[in-house]
Amino acid sequence: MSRNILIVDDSTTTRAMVRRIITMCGAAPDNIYEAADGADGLAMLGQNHVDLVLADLHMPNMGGLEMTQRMQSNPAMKNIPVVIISADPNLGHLEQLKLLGVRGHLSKPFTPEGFRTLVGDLLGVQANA
Amino acid sequence: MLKIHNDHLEASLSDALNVMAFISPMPPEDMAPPTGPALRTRIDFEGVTTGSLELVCPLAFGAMLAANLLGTEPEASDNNASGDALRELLNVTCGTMLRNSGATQRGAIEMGVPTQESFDISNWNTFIESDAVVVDADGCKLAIRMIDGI
Repeated sequence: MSRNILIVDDSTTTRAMVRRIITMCGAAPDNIYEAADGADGLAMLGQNHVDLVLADLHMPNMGGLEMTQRMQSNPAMKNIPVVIISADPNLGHLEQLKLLGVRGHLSKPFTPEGFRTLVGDLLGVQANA
Repeated sequence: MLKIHNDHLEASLSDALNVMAFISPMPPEDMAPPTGPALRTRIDFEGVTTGSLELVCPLAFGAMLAANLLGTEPEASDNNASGDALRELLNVTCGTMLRNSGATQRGAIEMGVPTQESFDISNWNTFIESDAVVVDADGCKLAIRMIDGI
Protein backbone atom coordinates (compact mmCIF):
# COMPACT_ATOMS: atom_id res chain seq x y z
CA MET A 1 0.00 0.00 0.00
CA SER A 2 1.39 3.41 -0.92
CA ARG A 3 2.00 6.07 1.69
CA ASN A 4 1.74 9.70 0.69
CA ILE A 5 2.51 12.82 2.70
CA LEU A 6 1.32 16.39 2.06
CA ILE A 7 3.43 19.30 3.38
CA VAL A 8 1.53 22.58 3.69
CA ASP A 9 3.69 25.64 4.42
CA ASP A 10 4.04 29.05 2.81
CA SER A 11 7.84 28.93 3.08
CA THR A 12 9.50 27.05 0.24
CA THR A 13 12.57 26.63 2.44
CA THR A 14 10.54 25.06 5.23
CA ARG A 15 8.81 22.70 2.80
CA ALA A 16 12.18 21.63 1.44
CA MET A 17 13.55 21.25 4.97
CA VAL A 18 10.61 19.07 6.08
CA ARG A 19 10.94 17.02 2.91
CA ARG A 20 14.62 16.48 3.71
CA ILE A 21 13.86 15.45 7.30
CA ILE A 22 11.22 12.99 6.11
CA THR A 23 13.88 11.38 3.95
CA MET A 24 16.50 11.49 6.74
CA CYS A 25 14.06 9.78 9.11
CA GLY A 26 13.60 6.83 6.83
CA ALA A 27 9.81 7.18 6.59
CA ALA A 28 10.18 6.49 2.85
CA PRO A 29 6.79 7.68 1.57
CA ASP A 30 5.88 6.93 -2.01
CA ASN A 31 4.98 10.53 -2.73
CA ILE A 32 5.50 13.85 -0.99
CA TYR A 33 3.15 16.58 -2.17
CA GLU A 34 3.54 20.26 -1.34
CA ALA A 35 1.08 23.14 -0.93
CA ALA A 36 1.70 26.80 -0.09
CA ASP A 37 -1.39 27.39 2.05
CA GLY A 38 -4.51 25.69 3.40
CA ALA A 39 -6.63 26.33 0.32
CA ASP A 40 -3.93 24.89 -1.91
CA GLY A 41 -3.66 21.96 0.51
CA LEU A 42 -7.39 21.19 0.29
CA ALA A 43 -7.13 21.23 -3.49
CA MET A 44 -4.23 18.77 -3.35
CA LEU A 45 -6.21 16.53 -0.99
CA GLY A 46 -9.09 16.54 -3.44
CA GLN A 47 -6.85 15.30 -6.23
CA ASN A 48 -4.54 12.84 -4.46
CA HIS A 49 -4.62 10.01 -1.95
CA VAL A 50 -2.84 11.36 1.16
CA ASP A 51 -2.08 9.45 4.37
CA LEU A 52 -0.65 12.27 6.47
CA VAL A 53 -0.74 16.07 6.37
CA LEU A 54 2.04 18.18 7.91
CA ALA A 55 0.84 21.77 8.10
CA ASP A 56 2.00 25.13 9.36
CA LEU A 57 -0.36 27.06 11.64
CA HIS A 58 -0.12 30.55 10.16
CA MET A 59 -0.25 30.96 6.41
CA PRO A 60 -1.70 33.55 4.06
CA ASN A 61 -5.18 32.86 2.63
CA MET A 62 -5.89 29.85 4.88
CA GLY A 63 -3.96 28.60 7.92
CA GLY A 64 -3.52 25.08 9.21
CA LEU A 65 -6.41 25.18 11.69
CA GLU A 66 -8.99 26.34 9.17
CA MET A 67 -7.75 23.75 6.69
CA THR A 68 -8.13 21.01 9.34
CA GLN A 69 -11.60 22.27 10.22
CA ARG A 70 -12.66 22.06 6.57
CA MET A 71 -11.16 18.58 6.29
CA GLN A 72 -13.33 17.49 9.25
CA SER A 73 -16.47 18.46 7.39
CA ASN A 74 -15.47 16.46 4.30
CA PRO A 75 -16.12 12.70 4.69
CA ALA A 76 -13.31 11.90 2.24
CA MET A 77 -10.75 13.87 4.26
CA LYS A 78 -11.87 13.72 7.88
CA ASN A 79 -9.84 10.64 8.79
CA ILE A 80 -6.54 11.88 7.37
CA PRO A 81 -4.26 12.69 10.32
CA VAL A 82 -2.97 16.26 10.51
CA VAL A 83 0.19 17.31 12.35
CA ILE A 84 0.74 21.01 12.96
CA ILE A 85 4.39 22.13 12.74
CA SER A 86 4.89 25.68 13.94
CA ALA A 87 7.10 28.12 15.84
CA ASP A 88 3.97 29.58 17.46
CA PRO A 89 4.81 29.94 21.17
CA ASN A 90 1.23 29.07 22.19
CA LEU A 91 1.20 25.78 20.29
CA GLY A 92 1.37 23.54 23.36
CA HIS A 93 -1.56 25.35 24.95
CA LEU A 94 -3.93 25.28 22.01
CA GLU A 95 -6.71 23.02 23.24
CA GLN A 96 -8.61 23.75 20.07
CA LEU A 97 -6.03 21.76 18.11
CA LYS A 98 -7.45 18.46 19.35
CA LEU A 99 -11.04 19.67 19.18
CA LEU A 100 -10.49 20.45 15.51
CA GLY A 101 -9.07 17.02 14.80
CA VAL A 102 -5.34 17.74 14.84
CA ARG A 103 -3.57 14.49 15.73
CA GLY A 104 -0.25 15.93 16.85
CA HIS A 105 1.96 18.98 16.90
CA LEU A 106 5.64 19.76 16.73
CA SER A 107 7.14 23.00 17.96
CA LYS A 108 9.99 24.41 15.90
CA PRO A 109 12.85 23.85 16.19
CA PHE A 110 12.33 20.10 16.32
CA THR A 111 14.82 17.27 16.20
CA PRO A 112 14.73 14.53 13.55
CA GLU A 113 14.13 12.07 16.43
CA GLY A 114 11.00 13.91 17.61
CA PHE A 115 9.77 14.10 14.04
CA ARG A 116 10.46 10.42 13.40
CA THR A 117 8.57 9.33 16.52
CA LEU A 118 5.45 11.34 15.68
CA VAL A 119 5.36 10.66 11.96
CA GLY A 120 6.28 7.00 12.38
CA ASP A 121 3.39 6.50 14.81
CA LEU A 122 0.87 8.19 12.56
CA LEU A 123 1.96 6.38 9.43
CA GLY A 124 2.03 3.10 11.31
CA VAL A 125 5.56 2.39 10.18
CA GLN A 126 8.79 1.63 11.95
CA ALA A 127 10.92 4.45 10.63
CA ASN A 128 14.62 3.72 10.56
CA ALA A 129 17.28 5.89 12.20
CA MET B 1 4.77 43.95 31.11
CA LEU B 2 7.01 40.90 31.34
CA LYS B 3 10.66 41.75 30.73
CA ILE B 4 12.55 39.28 28.54
CA HIS B 5 16.29 39.38 29.10
CA ASN B 6 19.04 39.11 26.53
CA ASP B 7 20.22 35.78 27.94
CA HIS B 8 16.87 34.27 26.84
CA LEU B 9 17.36 35.85 23.42
CA GLU B 10 20.91 34.56 23.00
CA ALA B 11 20.00 31.08 24.22
CA SER B 12 17.02 30.94 21.85
CA LEU B 13 19.09 32.02 18.84
CA SER B 14 21.71 29.44 19.76
CA ASP B 15 19.07 26.73 20.17
CA ALA B 16 17.46 27.56 16.82
CA LEU B 17 20.81 27.54 15.00
CA ASN B 18 21.88 24.31 16.67
CA VAL B 19 18.72 22.32 16.08
CA MET B 20 17.80 23.69 12.65
CA ALA B 21 21.20 23.94 11.03
CA PHE B 22 23.78 22.23 13.27
CA ILE B 23 25.52 25.58 13.76
CA SER B 24 26.99 26.35 17.20
CA PRO B 25 27.37 30.12 17.59
CA MET B 26 30.36 31.46 19.52
CA PRO B 27 31.28 34.84 20.98
CA PRO B 28 32.80 36.99 18.21
CA GLU B 29 36.53 37.78 18.25
CA ASP B 30 35.72 41.46 17.71
CA MET B 31 32.74 43.70 17.06
CA ALA B 32 33.88 45.02 13.68
CA PRO B 33 31.14 45.13 11.05
CA PRO B 34 30.83 42.18 8.68
CA THR B 35 31.62 42.69 5.01
CA GLY B 36 29.34 42.37 2.01
CA PRO B 37 25.65 43.09 1.58
CA ALA B 38 23.54 42.63 4.71
CA LEU B 39 19.89 42.13 5.59
CA ARG B 40 17.74 43.25 8.49
CA THR B 41 14.97 40.77 9.33
CA ARG B 42 12.26 41.76 11.80
CA ILE B 43 9.38 40.06 13.57
CA ASP B 44 6.81 41.69 15.86
CA PHE B 45 4.94 40.01 18.71
CA GLU B 46 2.00 41.19 20.74
CA GLY B 47 0.15 39.94 23.82
CA VAL B 48 1.15 39.59 27.47
CA THR B 49 4.47 40.93 26.27
CA THR B 50 4.85 43.09 23.18
CA GLY B 51 7.87 43.99 21.11
CA SER B 52 10.01 43.08 18.13
CA LEU B 53 13.13 41.14 17.32
CA GLU B 54 15.57 42.37 14.69
CA LEU B 55 18.33 40.27 13.19
CA VAL B 56 21.13 41.79 11.11
CA CYS B 57 23.61 39.63 9.26
CA PRO B 58 25.39 39.30 5.93
CA LEU B 59 23.39 37.89 3.05
CA ALA B 60 26.17 35.31 2.79
CA PHE B 61 25.08 33.87 6.13
CA GLY B 62 21.57 33.43 4.74
CA ALA B 63 23.04 31.41 1.87
CA MET B 64 25.00 29.25 4.31
CA LEU B 65 21.95 28.76 6.51
CA ALA B 66 19.76 27.80 3.55
CA ALA B 67 22.42 25.33 2.43
CA ASN B 68 22.53 23.74 5.90
CA LEU B 69 18.73 23.52 6.06
CA LEU B 70 18.38 22.02 2.62
CA GLY B 71 21.53 19.92 2.42
CA THR B 72 22.90 21.81 -0.56
CA GLU B 73 25.96 23.98 -1.24
CA PRO B 74 25.83 27.72 -0.32
CA GLU B 75 26.50 28.57 -3.99
CA ALA B 76 23.19 26.88 -4.83
CA SER B 77 21.20 29.25 -2.59
CA ASP B 78 19.70 32.21 -4.43
CA ASN B 79 18.68 35.44 -2.67
CA ASN B 80 15.12 34.18 -2.19
CA ALA B 81 16.28 31.03 -0.40
CA SER B 82 18.75 33.03 1.69
CA GLY B 83 16.11 35.51 2.79
CA ASP B 84 13.56 32.77 3.42
CA ALA B 85 16.04 30.88 5.62
CA LEU B 86 16.72 34.01 7.69
CA ARG B 87 13.00 34.69 8.13
CA GLU B 88 12.54 31.11 9.31
CA LEU B 89 15.48 31.44 11.72
CA LEU B 90 14.04 34.59 13.27
CA ASN B 91 10.54 33.09 13.42
CA VAL B 92 11.85 30.04 15.28
CA THR B 93 14.11 32.13 17.55
CA CYS B 94 11.19 34.36 18.51
CA GLY B 95 8.85 31.46 19.29
CA THR B 96 11.55 29.72 21.32
CA MET B 97 12.35 32.87 23.28
CA LEU B 98 8.71 33.53 24.12
CA ARG B 99 8.21 29.92 25.28
CA ASN B 100 11.46 29.62 27.23
CA SER B 101 11.14 32.97 28.96
CA GLY B 102 7.86 31.83 30.48
CA ALA B 103 5.93 34.55 28.67
CA THR B 104 3.37 32.15 27.21
CA GLN B 105 2.58 30.82 30.70
CA ARG B 106 1.03 34.21 31.42
CA GLY B 107 -1.20 34.36 28.37
CA ALA B 108 -1.33 34.25 24.61
CA ILE B 109 1.15 36.03 22.36
CA GLU B 110 0.63 36.53 18.65
CA MET B 111 3.69 36.58 16.42
CA GLY B 112 3.60 38.50 13.16
CA VAL B 113 5.05 37.58 9.79
CA PRO B 114 8.80 38.32 9.50
CA THR B 115 9.72 41.22 7.22
CA GLN B 116 13.04 41.93 5.57
CA GLU B 117 15.00 44.81 4.06
CA SER B 118 18.57 45.50 3.03
CA PHE B 119 20.75 46.91 5.79
CA ASP B 120 23.41 49.58 5.33
CA ILE B 121 26.39 48.05 7.09
CA SER B 122 27.68 51.52 8.02
CA ASN B 123 24.90 51.44 10.65
CA TRP B 124 26.33 48.28 12.25
CA ASN B 125 27.85 50.03 15.28
CA THR B 126 24.68 51.97 15.98
CA PHE B 127 22.70 48.74 15.77
CA ILE B 128 24.90 46.70 18.11
CA GLU B 129 25.20 49.56 20.62
CA SER B 130 21.44 49.41 21.14
CA ASP B 131 21.72 46.38 23.45
CA ALA B 132 22.17 43.84 20.64
CA VAL B 133 23.59 40.36 21.13
CA VAL B 134 26.41 39.60 18.66
CA VAL B 135 27.54 36.06 17.87
CA ASP B 136 29.87 34.38 15.43
CA ALA B 137 28.12 31.64 13.49
CA ASP B 138 30.59 29.61 11.45
CA GLY B 139 32.61 32.73 10.64
CA CYS B 140 29.67 35.09 10.02
CA LYS B 141 28.67 37.78 12.49
CA LEU B 142 25.02 37.99 13.48
CA ALA B 143 23.51 40.74 15.62
CA ILE B 144 20.09 40.37 17.18
CA ARG B 145 18.22 42.77 19.42
CA MET B 146 14.87 43.04 21.11
CA ILE B 147 12.83 46.19 20.98
CA ASP B 148 10.32 46.44 23.81
CA GLY B 149 6.86 47.50 22.75
CA ILE B 150 4.46 49.68 24.64
